[in-house]
Amino acid sequence: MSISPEALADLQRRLQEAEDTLRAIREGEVDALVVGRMDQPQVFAIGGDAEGFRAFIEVMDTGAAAVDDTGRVLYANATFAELVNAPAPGRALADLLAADPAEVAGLLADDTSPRATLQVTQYGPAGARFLVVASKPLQIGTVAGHAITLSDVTDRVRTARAEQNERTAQGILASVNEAVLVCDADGIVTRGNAASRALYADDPVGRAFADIVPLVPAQGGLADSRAILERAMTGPPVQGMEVFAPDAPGAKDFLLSAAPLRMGEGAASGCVVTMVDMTQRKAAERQQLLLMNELDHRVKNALAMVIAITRRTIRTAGDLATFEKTFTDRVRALAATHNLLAKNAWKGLTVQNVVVAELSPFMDMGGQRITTEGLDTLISAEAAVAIGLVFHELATNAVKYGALSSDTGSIAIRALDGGAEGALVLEWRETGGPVVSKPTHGGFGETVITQSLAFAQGGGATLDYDPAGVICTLTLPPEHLPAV
Amino acid sequence: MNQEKPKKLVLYVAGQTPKSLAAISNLRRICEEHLPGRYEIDVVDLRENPKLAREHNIVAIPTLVRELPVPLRKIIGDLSDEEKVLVNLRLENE
Repeated sequence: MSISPEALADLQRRLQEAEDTLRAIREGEVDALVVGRMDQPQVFAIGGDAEGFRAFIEVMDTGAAAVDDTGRVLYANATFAELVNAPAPGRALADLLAADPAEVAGLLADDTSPRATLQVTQYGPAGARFLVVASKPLQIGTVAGHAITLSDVTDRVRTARAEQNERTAQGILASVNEAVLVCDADGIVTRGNAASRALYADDPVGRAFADIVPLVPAQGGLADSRAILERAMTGPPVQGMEVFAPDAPGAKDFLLSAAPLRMGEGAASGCVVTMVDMTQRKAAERQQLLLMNELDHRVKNALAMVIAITRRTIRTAGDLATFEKTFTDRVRALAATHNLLAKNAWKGLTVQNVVVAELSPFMDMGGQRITTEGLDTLISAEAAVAIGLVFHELATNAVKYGALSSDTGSIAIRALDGGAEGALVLEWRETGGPVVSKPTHGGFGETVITQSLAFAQGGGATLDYDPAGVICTLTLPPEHLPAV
Repeated sequence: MNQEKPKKLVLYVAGQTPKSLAAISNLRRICEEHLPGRYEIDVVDLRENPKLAREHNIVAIPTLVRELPVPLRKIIGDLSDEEKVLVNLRLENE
Protein backbone atom coordinates (compact mmCIF):
# COMPACT_ATOMS: atom_id res chain seq x y z
CA MET A 1 0.00 0.00 0.00
CA SER A 2 1.39 3.33 -1.01
CA ILE A 3 0.47 6.69 0.40
CA SER A 4 0.83 10.03 -1.28
CA PRO A 5 3.08 12.67 0.27
CA GLU A 6 0.05 15.01 0.66
CA ALA A 7 -1.92 12.34 2.51
CA LEU A 8 1.08 11.62 4.71
CA ALA A 9 1.47 15.30 5.54
CA ASP A 10 -2.26 15.47 6.38
CA LEU A 11 -1.96 12.43 8.63
CA GLN A 12 1.04 13.91 10.39
CA ARG A 13 -0.84 17.23 10.92
CA ARG A 14 -3.86 15.40 12.33
CA LEU A 15 -1.65 13.31 14.60
CA GLN A 16 0.06 16.44 15.84
CA GLU A 17 -3.31 18.05 16.45
CA ALA A 18 -4.54 15.00 18.38
CA GLU A 19 -1.40 15.05 20.53
CA ASP A 20 -1.82 18.79 21.19
CA THR A 21 -5.42 18.22 22.23
CA LEU A 22 -4.50 15.41 24.63
CA ARG A 23 -1.67 17.46 26.13
CA ALA A 24 -3.95 20.47 26.59
CA ILE A 25 -6.57 18.33 28.35
CA ARG A 26 -3.94 16.66 30.51
CA GLU A 27 -2.36 19.99 31.52
CA GLY A 28 -5.68 21.64 32.30
CA GLU A 29 -5.53 24.21 29.51
CA VAL A 30 -9.11 23.58 28.46
CA ASP A 31 -12.27 23.40 30.54
CA ALA A 32 -14.83 22.04 28.02
CA LEU A 33 -14.97 19.21 25.52
CA VAL A 34 -17.12 18.44 22.51
CA VAL A 35 -18.39 14.90 23.00
CA GLY A 36 -20.94 12.59 21.42
CA ARG A 37 -21.63 11.62 17.89
CA MET A 38 -20.50 13.95 15.17
CA ASP A 39 -24.06 14.56 14.02
CA GLN A 40 -25.23 15.32 17.59
CA PRO A 41 -22.30 16.80 19.44
CA GLN A 42 -22.64 18.11 22.99
CA VAL A 43 -20.48 20.45 25.03
CA PHE A 44 -19.33 19.08 28.36
CA ALA A 45 -17.74 21.45 30.96
CA ILE A 46 -14.80 19.99 32.88
CA GLY A 47 -14.67 20.70 36.61
CA GLY A 48 -18.30 21.67 36.90
CA ASP A 49 -20.31 24.44 35.37
CA ALA A 50 -19.42 27.94 36.56
CA GLU A 51 -22.69 29.40 35.29
CA GLY A 52 -24.35 29.08 38.68
CA PHE A 53 -21.54 30.98 40.35
CA ARG A 54 -21.69 33.67 37.73
CA ALA A 55 -25.48 34.06 38.09
CA PHE A 56 -25.05 34.27 41.86
CA ILE A 57 -22.54 37.13 41.81
CA GLU A 58 -24.68 39.03 39.28
CA VAL A 59 -27.44 39.48 41.85
CA MET A 60 -25.12 40.45 44.72
CA ASP A 61 -25.39 44.03 46.02
CA THR A 62 -21.70 44.25 46.81
CA GLY A 63 -19.08 44.31 44.10
CA ALA A 64 -18.12 40.72 43.27
CA ALA A 65 -15.74 39.15 40.79
CA ALA A 66 -13.84 35.98 40.07
CA VAL A 67 -10.18 36.19 39.11
CA ASP A 68 -8.13 33.42 37.56
CA ASP A 69 -4.78 32.09 38.70
CA THR A 70 -2.95 34.91 36.87
CA GLY A 71 -4.90 37.64 38.69
CA ARG A 72 -7.14 38.52 35.71
CA VAL A 73 -10.82 39.11 36.19
CA LEU A 74 -13.04 36.37 34.68
CA TYR A 75 -16.43 37.58 35.83
CA ALA A 76 -17.50 40.75 37.57
CA ASN A 77 -20.92 42.04 38.43
CA ALA A 78 -22.22 45.52 37.60
CA THR A 79 -21.51 46.86 41.09
CA PHE A 80 -17.88 45.77 40.82
CA ALA A 81 -17.47 47.62 37.50
CA GLU A 82 -19.12 50.71 38.96
CA LEU A 83 -16.87 50.71 42.03
CA VAL A 84 -13.65 50.41 40.00
CA ASN A 85 -14.97 52.78 37.29
CA ALA A 86 -14.10 50.39 34.45
CA PRO A 87 -15.25 47.24 32.67
CA ALA A 88 -13.41 44.56 34.54
CA PRO A 89 -13.38 41.21 32.63
CA GLY A 90 -10.03 40.39 31.08
CA ARG A 91 -8.14 43.03 33.08
CA ALA A 92 -5.68 42.42 35.85
CA LEU A 93 -7.13 43.08 39.30
CA ALA A 94 -3.97 45.05 40.20
CA ASP A 95 -4.68 47.45 37.29
CA LEU A 96 -8.25 48.04 38.44
CA LEU A 97 -7.52 48.85 42.08
CA ALA A 98 -5.74 52.00 43.24
CA ALA A 99 -3.44 49.97 45.43
CA ASP A 100 0.16 48.85 45.62
CA PRO A 101 0.46 45.90 43.17
CA ALA A 102 2.42 44.01 45.80
CA GLU A 103 -0.50 44.32 48.21
CA VAL A 104 -2.92 43.05 45.55
CA ALA A 105 -0.54 40.17 44.86
CA GLY A 106 -0.57 39.42 48.58
CA LEU A 107 -4.34 39.37 48.45
CA LEU A 108 -4.20 36.68 45.74
CA ALA A 109 -1.40 34.69 47.31
CA ASP A 110 -2.02 30.97 47.04
CA ASP A 111 -2.15 30.33 50.74
CA THR A 112 -4.57 28.73 53.09
CA SER A 113 -5.72 31.90 54.82
CA PRO A 114 -9.49 31.83 54.71
CA ARG A 115 -10.02 35.48 53.82
CA ALA A 116 -7.63 38.32 53.05
CA THR A 117 -8.67 41.97 53.03
CA LEU A 118 -7.23 45.23 51.81
CA GLN A 119 -8.54 48.77 52.13
CA VAL A 120 -8.20 51.01 49.06
CA THR A 121 -9.24 54.52 48.15
CA GLN A 122 -10.69 54.56 44.65
CA TYR A 123 -11.13 57.89 42.85
CA GLY A 124 -13.89 58.33 40.32
CA PRO A 125 -16.38 60.87 38.96
CA ALA A 126 -18.17 60.89 42.33
CA GLY A 127 -14.95 61.62 44.20
CA ALA A 128 -13.08 59.34 46.59
CA ARG A 129 -14.60 56.01 47.56
CA PHE A 130 -13.28 53.85 50.36
CA LEU A 131 -13.43 50.16 49.50
CA VAL A 132 -12.64 47.05 51.46
CA VAL A 133 -11.36 44.36 49.10
CA ALA A 134 -11.75 40.81 50.33
CA SER A 135 -10.37 37.71 48.70
CA LYS A 136 -10.96 34.02 49.17
CA PRO A 137 -9.52 31.10 47.17
CA LEU A 138 -12.10 29.63 44.80
CA GLN A 139 -12.04 26.74 42.35
CA ILE A 140 -13.84 27.90 39.21
CA GLY A 141 -14.14 25.02 36.81
CA THR A 142 -10.57 23.94 36.22
CA VAL A 143 -9.16 27.26 37.39
CA ALA A 144 -7.77 27.75 40.90
CA GLY A 145 -8.68 31.40 41.25
CA HIS A 146 -10.09 33.74 43.84
CA ALA A 147 -13.47 35.18 44.65
CA ILE A 148 -13.18 38.92 45.20
CA THR A 149 -15.68 41.21 46.88
CA LEU A 150 -15.64 45.00 47.07
CA SER A 151 -17.51 46.63 49.93
CA ASP A 152 -18.13 50.36 49.69
CA VAL A 153 -17.44 51.69 53.19
CA THR A 154 -17.32 55.34 52.11
CA ASP A 155 -20.30 56.35 54.23
CA ARG A 156 -18.96 54.50 57.24
CA VAL A 157 -15.48 56.05 56.85
CA ARG A 158 -16.92 59.54 56.33
CA THR A 159 -19.19 59.15 59.34
CA ALA A 160 -16.25 58.00 61.45
CA ARG A 161 -14.14 60.91 60.21
CA ALA A 162 -16.95 63.36 60.86
CA GLU A 163 -17.32 61.98 64.37
CA GLN A 164 -13.57 62.24 64.89
CA ASN A 165 -13.59 65.83 63.55
CA GLU A 166 -16.49 66.62 65.84
CA ARG A 167 -14.62 65.18 68.82
CA THR A 168 -11.50 67.15 67.84
CA ALA A 169 -13.50 70.37 67.47
CA GLN A 170 -15.16 69.76 70.84
CA GLY A 171 -11.76 69.06 72.37
CA ILE A 172 -10.29 72.26 70.96
CA LEU A 173 -13.27 74.29 72.10
CA ALA A 174 -13.17 72.77 75.56
CA SER A 175 -9.44 73.30 76.02
CA VAL A 176 -9.18 76.96 75.00
CA ASN A 177 -9.25 79.47 77.82
CA GLU A 178 -11.17 82.04 75.82
CA ALA A 179 -14.93 82.03 75.77
CA VAL A 180 -16.00 80.74 72.35
CA LEU A 181 -19.58 81.01 71.09
CA VAL A 182 -20.64 79.75 67.66
CA CYS A 183 -23.75 81.41 66.23
CA ASP A 184 -25.89 80.54 63.23
CA ALA A 185 -26.95 83.04 60.56
CA ASP A 186 -29.81 84.22 62.80
CA GLY A 187 -27.48 84.97 65.69
CA ILE A 188 -28.64 81.95 67.70
CA VAL A 189 -25.90 80.25 69.71
CA THR A 190 -25.31 76.72 68.43
CA ARG A 191 -22.29 75.89 70.50
CA GLY A 192 -20.48 77.32 73.51
CA ASN A 193 -17.47 76.08 75.43
CA ALA A 194 -17.06 75.86 79.19
CA ALA A 195 -15.28 79.23 79.29
CA SER A 196 -18.38 80.86 77.76
CA ARG A 197 -20.11 80.37 81.13
CA ALA A 198 -18.11 83.45 82.15
CA LEU A 199 -20.47 85.42 79.89
CA TYR A 200 -23.72 83.63 80.58
CA ALA A 201 -24.15 81.35 83.56
CA ASP A 202 -26.67 78.98 81.94
CA ASP A 203 -26.43 76.88 78.79
CA PRO A 204 -26.25 79.43 75.95
CA VAL A 205 -27.16 76.97 73.17
CA GLY A 206 -30.43 77.86 71.50
CA ARG A 207 -30.49 81.42 72.85
CA ALA A 208 -29.95 84.60 70.84
CA PHE A 209 -26.41 85.88 71.40
CA ALA A 210 -27.60 89.50 71.56
CA ASP A 211 -30.09 88.64 74.33
CA ILE A 212 -27.82 86.65 76.60
CA VAL A 213 -24.62 88.67 76.12
CA PRO A 214 -25.46 92.37 75.89
CA LEU A 215 -22.26 94.26 75.13
CA VAL A 216 -21.16 97.87 75.37
CA PRO A 217 -18.13 98.58 73.16
CA ALA A 218 -15.44 100.46 75.10
CA GLN A 219 -14.53 102.70 72.19
CA GLY A 220 -17.14 103.94 69.69
CA GLY A 221 -17.85 102.07 66.44
CA LEU A 222 -20.19 99.11 66.58
CA ALA A 223 -23.16 99.85 68.76
CA ASP A 224 -24.05 96.54 70.41
CA SER A 225 -24.01 92.73 70.26
CA ARG A 226 -26.40 92.64 67.30
CA ALA A 227 -24.23 95.03 65.27
CA ILE A 228 -21.11 93.05 66.12
CA LEU A 229 -22.65 89.79 64.85
CA GLU A 230 -23.96 91.46 61.69
CA ARG A 231 -20.53 92.87 60.95
CA ALA A 232 -18.85 89.50 61.62
CA MET A 233 -21.12 87.74 59.12
CA THR A 234 -21.10 90.33 56.34
CA GLY A 235 -18.13 92.63 56.67
CA PRO A 236 -14.51 92.14 57.58
CA PRO A 237 -13.89 90.21 60.81
CA VAL A 238 -14.05 92.09 64.11
CA GLN A 239 -10.62 91.92 65.72
CA GLY A 240 -9.57 92.82 69.23
CA MET A 241 -12.48 95.07 70.18
CA GLU A 242 -12.65 96.02 73.85
CA VAL A 243 -16.16 95.46 75.18
CA PHE A 244 -17.94 95.71 78.50
CA ALA A 245 -20.43 92.97 79.37
CA PRO A 246 -22.60 94.43 82.15
CA ASP A 247 -24.64 91.23 82.68
CA ALA A 248 -21.69 88.81 82.81
CA PRO A 249 -21.67 86.89 86.09
CA GLY A 250 -17.99 87.46 86.81
CA ALA A 251 -15.49 89.54 84.89
CA LYS A 252 -17.03 92.19 82.69
CA ASP A 253 -14.13 93.54 80.63
CA PHE A 254 -13.41 91.46 77.51
CA LEU A 255 -11.44 91.62 74.27
CA LEU A 256 -13.79 90.43 71.52
CA SER A 257 -13.03 88.95 68.09
CA ALA A 258 -15.68 87.67 65.70
CA ALA A 259 -15.27 86.04 62.30
CA PRO A 260 -17.63 84.49 59.76
CA LEU A 261 -18.11 80.73 59.90
CA ARG A 262 -17.72 79.29 56.42
CA MET A 263 -18.41 75.64 55.71
CA GLY A 264 -16.79 75.32 52.28
CA GLU A 265 -17.60 77.83 49.54
CA GLY A 266 -20.33 80.42 49.66
CA ALA A 267 -21.79 82.81 52.17
CA ALA A 268 -21.13 82.56 55.89
CA SER A 269 -23.42 80.16 57.68
CA GLY A 270 -22.86 81.95 60.97
CA CYS A 271 -20.02 83.36 62.98
CA VAL A 272 -17.58 82.47 65.72
CA VAL A 273 -17.19 84.88 68.63
CA THR A 274 -14.21 84.64 70.97
CA MET A 275 -13.91 86.74 74.09
CA VAL A 276 -10.82 87.06 76.28
CA ASP A 277 -11.14 88.07 79.92
CA MET A 278 -9.39 91.44 80.30
CA THR A 279 -9.75 91.70 84.08
CA GLN A 280 -6.09 91.07 84.85
CA ARG A 281 -4.94 93.35 82.05
CA LYS A 282 -7.25 96.11 83.22
CA ALA A 283 -6.04 95.65 86.80
CA ALA A 284 -2.43 95.85 85.57
CA GLU A 285 -3.24 99.04 83.67
CA ARG A 286 -4.81 100.55 86.78
CA GLN A 287 -1.82 99.53 88.87
CA GLN A 288 0.53 101.06 86.30
CA LEU A 289 -1.40 104.32 86.35
CA LEU A 290 -1.32 104.33 90.13
CA LEU A 291 2.42 103.73 90.16
CA MET A 292 3.01 106.49 87.63
CA ASN A 293 1.05 108.95 89.81
CA GLU A 294 2.89 107.74 92.88
CA LEU A 295 6.24 108.14 91.13
CA ASP A 296 5.32 111.65 90.03
CA HIS A 297 4.38 112.49 93.62
CA ARG A 298 7.60 111.06 95.04
CA VAL A 299 9.82 112.79 92.50
CA LYS A 300 8.19 116.09 93.34
CA ASN A 301 8.67 115.40 97.05
CA ALA A 302 12.30 114.46 96.52
CA LEU A 303 12.98 117.63 94.51
CA ALA A 304 11.27 119.77 97.16
CA MET A 305 13.42 118.08 99.78
CA VAL A 306 16.60 118.76 97.77
CA ILE A 307 15.63 122.42 97.34
CA ALA A 308 15.06 122.71 101.12
CA ILE A 309 18.38 120.99 101.86
CA THR A 310 20.13 123.35 99.46
CA ARG A 311 18.68 126.49 101.01
CA ARG A 312 19.33 125.49 104.61
CA THR A 313 22.83 124.23 103.86
CA ILE A 314 23.78 127.48 102.10
CA ARG A 315 22.66 129.44 105.15
CA THR A 316 24.66 127.39 107.64
CA ALA A 317 27.79 126.48 105.69
CA GLY A 318 30.68 128.82 106.29
CA ASP A 319 32.42 128.12 102.99
CA LEU A 320 32.00 126.29 99.71
CA ALA A 321 33.97 123.24 100.82
CA THR A 322 31.75 122.78 103.90
CA PHE A 323 28.66 123.30 101.73
CA GLU A 324 29.81 120.68 99.27
CA LYS A 325 30.47 118.06 101.92
CA THR A 326 27.35 118.69 103.99
CA PHE A 327 25.08 119.00 100.96
CA THR A 328 26.47 115.85 99.34
CA ASP A 329 26.13 113.84 102.55
CA ARG A 330 22.54 114.91 103.03
CA VAL A 331 21.55 114.13 99.45
CA ARG A 332 23.30 110.75 99.79
CA ALA A 333 21.27 110.05 102.93
CA LEU A 334 18.15 110.81 100.93
CA ALA A 335 19.38 108.56 98.09
CA ALA A 336 20.18 105.70 100.50
CA THR A 337 16.60 105.55 101.73
CA HIS A 338 15.31 105.87 98.15
CA ASN A 339 17.51 102.99 97.05
CA LEU A 340 16.25 100.88 99.88
CA LEU A 341 12.67 101.73 99.04
CA ALA A 342 13.18 101.02 95.33
CA LYS A 343 14.66 97.60 96.13
CA ASN A 344 11.62 96.79 98.20
CA ALA A 345 9.17 98.19 95.63
CA TRP A 346 8.37 101.07 97.94
CA LYS A 347 6.98 98.92 100.68
CA GLY A 348 7.92 96.41 103.32
CA LEU A 349 10.75 98.35 105.02
CA THR A 350 11.44 98.08 108.77
CA VAL A 351 13.02 100.75 110.96
CA GLN A 352 16.03 98.45 111.22
CA ASN A 353 16.43 98.44 107.41
CA VAL A 354 16.50 102.25 107.35
CA VAL A 355 18.92 102.49 110.29
CA VAL A 356 21.36 100.08 108.66
CA ALA A 357 21.16 101.92 105.32
CA GLU A 358 21.71 105.35 106.83
CA LEU A 359 24.23 104.48 109.50
CA SER A 360 26.42 102.02 107.63
CA PRO A 361 29.13 104.69 106.94
CA PHE A 362 29.17 105.57 110.65
CA MET A 363 29.09 101.97 111.78
CA ASP A 364 32.49 101.56 110.09
CA MET A 365 33.75 104.33 112.32
CA GLY A 366 31.83 103.31 115.44
CA GLY A 367 31.99 99.54 115.17
CA GLN A 368 30.11 97.89 118.01
CA ARG A 369 29.29 101.23 119.54
CA ILE A 370 26.00 101.55 117.74
CA THR A 371 23.38 99.09 119.04
CA THR A 372 19.75 98.59 118.02
CA GLU A 373 16.83 96.90 119.74
CA GLY A 374 13.25 96.14 118.71
CA LEU A 375 13.36 97.92 115.35
CA ASP A 376 11.55 95.29 113.30
CA THR A 377 8.36 97.29 112.88
CA LEU A 378 7.26 97.92 109.28
CA ILE A 379 6.91 101.58 108.32
CA SER A 380 5.44 103.40 105.30
CA ALA A 381 7.63 104.66 102.47
CA GLU A 382 7.02 108.25 103.44
CA ALA A 383 8.02 107.59 107.07
CA ALA A 384 11.12 105.70 105.86
CA VAL A 385 12.36 108.75 103.89
CA ALA A 386 11.73 111.02 106.86
CA ILE A 387 13.39 108.94 109.59
CA GLY A 388 16.22 108.11 107.18
CA LEU A 389 17.04 111.81 106.98
CA VAL A 390 16.66 112.20 110.79
CA PHE A 391 19.05 109.33 111.54
CA HIS A 392 21.54 110.74 109.03
CA GLU A 393 21.50 114.13 110.76
CA LEU A 394 21.76 112.58 114.22
CA ALA A 395 24.70 110.43 113.13
CA THR A 396 26.44 113.39 111.45
CA ASN A 397 26.10 115.45 114.62
CA ALA A 398 27.31 112.52 116.74
CA VAL A 399 30.46 112.27 114.64
CA LYS A 400 31.06 116.01 114.80
CA TYR A 401 30.16 116.77 118.38
CA GLY A 402 28.69 113.77 120.16
CA ALA A 403 29.24 110.16 121.06
CA LEU A 404 31.13 109.21 117.91
CA SER A 405 33.54 112.17 118.25
CA SER A 406 35.36 110.40 121.08
CA ASP A 407 36.69 106.89 121.48
CA THR A 408 34.39 106.01 124.34
CA GLY A 409 30.94 107.14 123.33
CA SER A 410 28.17 104.87 122.12
CA ILE A 411 24.69 105.12 120.63
CA ALA A 412 21.63 102.98 121.41
CA ILE A 413 18.62 103.04 119.13
CA ARG A 414 15.52 101.22 120.36
CA ALA A 415 11.76 101.13 120.29
CA LEU A 416 10.07 102.35 123.46
CA ASP A 417 6.93 100.85 124.90
CA GLY A 418 3.73 102.73 125.40
CA GLY A 419 3.19 104.86 122.31
CA ALA A 420 -0.15 106.65 122.44
CA GLU A 421 -2.92 105.00 120.34
CA GLY A 422 -0.63 102.50 118.68
CA ALA A 423 2.08 104.99 117.69
CA LEU A 424 5.67 103.79 117.36
CA VAL A 425 8.13 105.62 119.61
CA LEU A 426 11.85 105.35 118.86
CA GLU A 427 14.70 106.58 121.00
CA TRP A 428 18.23 107.63 119.95
CA ARG A 429 20.38 107.85 123.02
CA GLU A 430 24.05 108.83 123.03
CA THR A 431 26.26 108.07 126.07
CA GLY A 432 29.93 108.24 126.96
CA GLY A 433 30.76 111.15 124.67
CA PRO A 434 31.83 114.70 125.49
CA VAL A 435 29.61 116.77 127.75
CA VAL A 436 26.72 118.12 125.73
CA SER A 437 25.44 121.64 125.77
CA LYS A 438 22.55 123.07 123.80
CA PRO A 439 23.80 124.82 120.65
CA THR A 440 23.42 128.55 120.46
CA HIS A 441 21.49 128.46 117.17
CA GLY A 442 19.60 125.67 115.41
CA GLY A 443 21.15 124.54 112.14
CA PHE A 444 19.46 122.69 109.32
CA GLY A 445 20.24 119.44 111.12
CA GLU A 446 18.07 120.36 114.03
CA THR A 447 15.32 121.65 111.72
CA VAL A 448 15.40 118.38 109.80
CA ILE A 449 15.29 116.34 112.98
CA THR A 450 12.46 118.20 114.62
CA GLN A 451 10.34 118.82 111.54
CA SER A 452 10.81 115.80 109.27
CA LEU A 453 8.26 113.75 111.10
CA ALA A 454 5.74 116.56 111.20
CA PHE A 455 4.47 115.41 107.76
CA ALA A 456 2.01 113.17 109.55
CA GLN A 457 -0.50 114.17 112.16
CA GLY A 458 0.58 112.79 115.49
CA GLY A 459 4.17 112.35 114.28
CA GLY A 460 7.20 114.31 115.46
CA ALA A 461 10.57 114.34 117.14
CA THR A 462 12.06 115.98 120.20
CA LEU A 463 15.74 116.69 120.89
CA ASP A 464 17.08 116.66 124.41
CA TYR A 465 20.62 118.01 124.88
CA ASP A 466 21.28 116.03 128.01
CA PRO A 467 24.86 116.70 129.26
CA ALA A 468 25.46 112.91 129.28
CA GLY A 469 24.51 112.64 125.63
CA VAL A 470 21.92 113.71 123.07
CA ILE A 471 18.53 111.97 123.33
CA CYS A 472 16.16 112.11 120.39
CA THR A 473 12.64 110.69 120.63
CA LEU A 474 10.74 110.03 117.39
CA THR A 475 7.05 109.25 117.15
CA LEU A 476 5.34 107.64 114.13
CA PRO A 477 1.53 107.56 114.08
CA PRO A 478 -0.15 104.14 113.49
CA GLU A 479 -1.29 105.00 109.95
CA HIS A 480 2.38 104.86 108.90
CA LEU A 481 2.83 101.40 110.40
CA PRO A 482 1.37 99.03 107.79
CA ALA A 483 0.20 95.65 109.00
CA VAL A 484 2.49 92.73 108.16
CA MET B 1 3.96 44.56 6.33
CA ASN B 2 1.32 47.17 5.57
CA GLN B 3 0.14 45.12 2.61
CA GLU B 4 -0.40 42.06 4.77
CA LYS B 5 -3.95 40.73 4.52
CA PRO B 6 -6.03 40.63 7.70
CA LYS B 7 -5.81 37.46 9.66
CA LYS B 8 -9.12 35.73 10.07
CA LEU B 9 -9.36 34.15 13.50
CA VAL B 10 -12.13 31.94 14.85
CA LEU B 11 -12.23 31.37 18.60
CA TYR B 12 -14.35 28.49 19.81
CA VAL B 13 -15.64 28.91 23.37
CA ALA B 14 -18.15 27.17 25.62
CA GLY B 15 -20.38 29.86 27.07
CA GLN B 16 -18.82 31.58 30.10
CA THR B 17 -16.40 28.94 31.31
CA PRO B 18 -13.33 30.49 32.95
CA LYS B 19 -11.01 29.30 30.16
CA SER B 20 -13.38 30.60 27.50
CA LEU B 21 -13.52 34.04 29.10
CA ALA B 22 -9.77 34.09 29.62
CA ALA B 23 -9.20 33.10 25.97
CA ILE B 24 -11.46 35.88 24.70
CA SER B 25 -9.77 38.60 26.76
CA ASN B 26 -6.26 37.26 26.07
CA LEU B 27 -6.86 37.09 22.32
CA ARG B 28 -8.28 40.62 22.16
CA ARG B 29 -5.38 42.01 24.16
CA ILE B 30 -2.72 40.27 22.07
CA CYS B 31 -4.29 41.34 18.77
CA GLU B 32 -4.69 44.95 19.88
CA GLU B 33 -1.10 45.10 21.00
CA HIS B 34 0.59 43.20 18.18
CA LEU B 35 -1.73 43.18 15.15
CA PRO B 36 -3.63 46.46 15.35
CA GLY B 37 -6.09 46.75 12.42
CA ARG B 38 -4.90 43.50 10.85
CA TYR B 39 -7.21 40.92 12.28
CA GLU B 40 -10.80 39.75 12.33
CA ILE B 41 -12.09 37.74 15.25
CA ASP B 42 -15.15 35.54 15.13
CA VAL B 43 -16.14 34.11 18.50
CA VAL B 44 -18.20 30.95 18.19
CA ASP B 45 -20.07 29.75 21.26
CA LEU B 46 -20.38 26.00 20.93
CA ARG B 47 -22.68 25.84 23.91
CA GLU B 48 -25.29 27.64 21.85
CA ASN B 49 -24.60 25.69 18.66
CA PRO B 50 -22.47 22.58 19.22
CA LYS B 51 -22.74 21.52 15.58
CA LEU B 52 -20.46 24.34 14.54
CA ALA B 53 -17.63 22.28 16.05
CA ARG B 54 -17.68 20.10 12.98
CA GLU B 55 -16.36 22.78 10.64
CA HIS B 56 -12.95 22.80 12.23
CA ASN B 57 -13.24 19.45 13.97
CA ILE B 58 -13.05 21.04 17.44
CA VAL B 59 -12.69 18.70 20.41
CA ALA B 60 -11.25 20.82 23.26
CA ILE B 61 -12.47 24.26 24.25
CA PRO B 62 -11.25 26.92 24.05
CA THR B 63 -9.54 26.54 20.68
CA LEU B 64 -8.35 29.30 18.37
CA VAL B 65 -8.30 28.62 14.63
CA ARG B 66 -6.34 30.76 12.23
CA GLU B 67 -8.40 30.44 9.06
CA LEU B 68 -6.46 32.93 7.03
CA PRO B 69 -3.84 33.04 5.85
CA VAL B 70 -3.61 29.40 5.00
CA PRO B 71 -2.47 26.91 6.12
CA LEU B 72 -5.01 26.65 8.89
CA ARG B 73 -3.57 26.57 12.41
CA LYS B 74 -5.06 25.63 15.79
CA ILE B 75 -4.04 26.82 19.23
CA ILE B 76 -5.66 24.98 22.13
CA GLY B 77 -6.04 26.61 25.56
CA ASP B 78 -6.83 29.98 27.12
CA LEU B 79 -4.10 31.78 25.10
CA SER B 80 -2.33 32.96 28.28
CA ASP B 81 1.05 32.06 26.73
CA GLU B 82 1.49 35.14 24.57
CA GLU B 83 4.70 33.98 22.84
CA LYS B 84 3.11 30.71 21.80
CA VAL B 85 0.08 32.56 20.39
CA LEU B 86 2.22 34.99 18.40
CA VAL B 87 4.38 32.21 16.97
CA ASN B 88 1.28 30.37 15.71
CA LEU B 89 -0.44 33.48 14.36
CA ARG B 90 2.50 34.57 12.23
CA LEU B 91 3.77 32.92 9.07
CA GLU B 92 7.41 31.99 8.89
CA ASN B 93 8.17 34.83 6.43
CA GLU B 94 6.45 37.55 8.54
